[in-house]
Amino acid sequence: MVQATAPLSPVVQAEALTKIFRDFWHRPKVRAVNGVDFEVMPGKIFGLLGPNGSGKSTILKMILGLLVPTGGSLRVFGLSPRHVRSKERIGYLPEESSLYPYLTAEEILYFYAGLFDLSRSERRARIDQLLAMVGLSHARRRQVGEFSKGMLRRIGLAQALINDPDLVVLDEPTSGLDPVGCRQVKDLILTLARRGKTVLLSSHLLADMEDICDRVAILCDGAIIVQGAVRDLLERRESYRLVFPVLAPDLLDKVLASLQHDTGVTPDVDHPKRTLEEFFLNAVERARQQAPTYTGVAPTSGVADYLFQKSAEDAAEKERHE
Amino acid sequence: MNRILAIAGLTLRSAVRSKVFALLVILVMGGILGLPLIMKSDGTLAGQVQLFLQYTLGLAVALLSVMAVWAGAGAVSLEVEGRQIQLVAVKPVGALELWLGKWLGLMVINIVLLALTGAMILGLLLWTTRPSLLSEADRVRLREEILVARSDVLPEEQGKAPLRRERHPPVAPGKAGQWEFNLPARARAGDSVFLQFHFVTSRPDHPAPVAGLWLIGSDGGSGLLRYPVSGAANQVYAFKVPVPAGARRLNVSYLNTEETTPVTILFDAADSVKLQIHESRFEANYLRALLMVLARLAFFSALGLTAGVVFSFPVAVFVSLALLLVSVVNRWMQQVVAGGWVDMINEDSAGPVIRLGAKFIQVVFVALNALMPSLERLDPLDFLPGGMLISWGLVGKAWLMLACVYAGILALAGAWLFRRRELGLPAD
Repeated sequence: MVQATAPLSPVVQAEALTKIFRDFWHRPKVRAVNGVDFEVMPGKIFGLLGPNGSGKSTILKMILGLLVPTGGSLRVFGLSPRHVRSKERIGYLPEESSLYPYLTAEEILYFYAGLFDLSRSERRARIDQLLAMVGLSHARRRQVGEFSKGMLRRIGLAQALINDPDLVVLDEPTSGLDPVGCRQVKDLILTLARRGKTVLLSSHLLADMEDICDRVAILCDGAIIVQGAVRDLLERRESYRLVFPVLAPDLLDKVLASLQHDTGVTPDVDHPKRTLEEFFLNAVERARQQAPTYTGVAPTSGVADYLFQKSAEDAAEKERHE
Repeated sequence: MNRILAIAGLTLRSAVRSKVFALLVILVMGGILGLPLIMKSDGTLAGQVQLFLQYTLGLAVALLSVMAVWAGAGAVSLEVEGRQIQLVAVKPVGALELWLGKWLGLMVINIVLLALTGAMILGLLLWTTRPSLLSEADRVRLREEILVARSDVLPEEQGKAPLRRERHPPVAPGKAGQWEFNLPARARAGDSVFLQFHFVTSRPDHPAPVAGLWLIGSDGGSGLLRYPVSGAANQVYAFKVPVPAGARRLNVSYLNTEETTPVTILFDAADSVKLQIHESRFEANYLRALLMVLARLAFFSALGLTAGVVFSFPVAVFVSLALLLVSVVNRWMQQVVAGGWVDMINEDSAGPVIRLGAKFIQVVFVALNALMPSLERLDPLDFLPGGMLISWGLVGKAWLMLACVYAGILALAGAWLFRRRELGLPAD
């Protein structure tokens, strides 16, 4: 007997969402977001893509309750974005560092953990794990005012995860990071999604979005011009690509001739290429293995245990529903 | 509560690690230490001590008040400017929790700074009046008249309510004026009761001094005590009165004995003749004075904090200080407004615009007077340097009014305004 289960409700649901910025005299100045509709489903990575000024950050800030929509409706976990209960389940990494420069990395995390009513021992444990995860354990007692941009992104990411959030909102998460850091952040985002977390991110780095997003919405002048699953949007259904291991020249000619004979089209042949990112990461990894010293950021230690534990429970719950 | 404490701790850290704050602390400490070096008193020990208390404590209170407003105004506005507030606002923190956390942190700073400055001033005072520097007579005078907490006992009017508003009849040459005092129980031991008086003459051009004789009797005493005096008008005089054990009433008479240039004496103020009785030690009074100052600082911090929720940092500081200025000159403004300053404008020459403008300012002042607390009435410096008692009732009134009622209203207003503010607006 098949048991019917309720469909999963969206984590974020926007309908005709509009934001108009007004001047001092309350006259409309800029229509930053114009009647946007989208849904972010649980456990998915949703990307907002668009040129500068297209309204990505404005949408994120409305979701976070930092801006009030002018029109339309917006629900986060079925509640108003300004509701304290919805905020308990959100982690946020802003585009620019908004951390207190006079606090140390450890104090920053301790402070934000305090805002979630975590017990003292739980705070300590999470701080240790997160600092190890973002590779800043050795810099835990340094004031963040002395941090490089990359280190600031890392500590910002750690504070976004301090409450083990169900929804992680990341505004340009890889901005300011070197390729190694970018890869680590992307891996982390993928891991979080695998563990049942919902990730909403904005970026104008198309390669990053392509690597990690399940769905994207492309914005231009405050409106969504395209949205859908990344695979569907990028797939070119009018052609096929075949990948073979290296073939002997005679055999290759034979295959090509056969294809040309049957289809009347001459196929393109070349060698698959690695991405520059992949090549760079391998080169850095080899260099580090030979001389394991580092400055600024230390090698990281995967994902914090508590993110795994709770996420695994959530994933199991989700599987039961499905 | 964890959230409030976390925000309070952060506010404390930000102040401790701020260079501007450190500079202000050094300024306060330097002012307290440096001011006595440039002060000039009337040459008497009592005058010197009074001046020291008035000026050093006055300076410390003024600087701490400015610091409280400054730190309060910056607590939120600077975080809005630096966008740190965004990361706090996206956490599950209520607006009132944020306000209270900030205020609590500011209060800890106020307490620490006030304790430091208070201890410094008291230490300096005790060091400059240490026994090895003073004669026995000076020490006794200081302990009985300045470094003490005394309260006033006003005369009765024939056993009725205390004589407060009525003027005492003039005392013509050769005539006597009379007053009766009910002694409170704590004064009946009788070792530290002073009679204080001041007077004016019917002729402003009268050459000083004026001779007179005070006669004091009590219900438990055997006879009249006689105190001949000679002094100029418009000065305050006091002398110690021994009160017999068990005495409940004092009968005081003043005989006008001026013969060289006879003149009528007027004791025309409600407190022209009064008794001063010892209530408590100076140190306890000093502690109560500091508690009153702390209540004022609690209000100043709250005012700055709420202004900082609405305005940018410089505007918040300006608005807060302007409102404080209004509070400080509250009584004077009330007198001006009550006196009808609009009437001072020449009705014939002033146009309707000027008259309307004056009326508008009058309305604004009346509204501000109604909105702001009268800080002048809760100023410990009106009491402490004169050796006057600061009662626990007055301390309680200051805390109730400033730290509870006014700070509470500011807290609610600040939280409401914070909730309405869009913190994610793009920078202009």
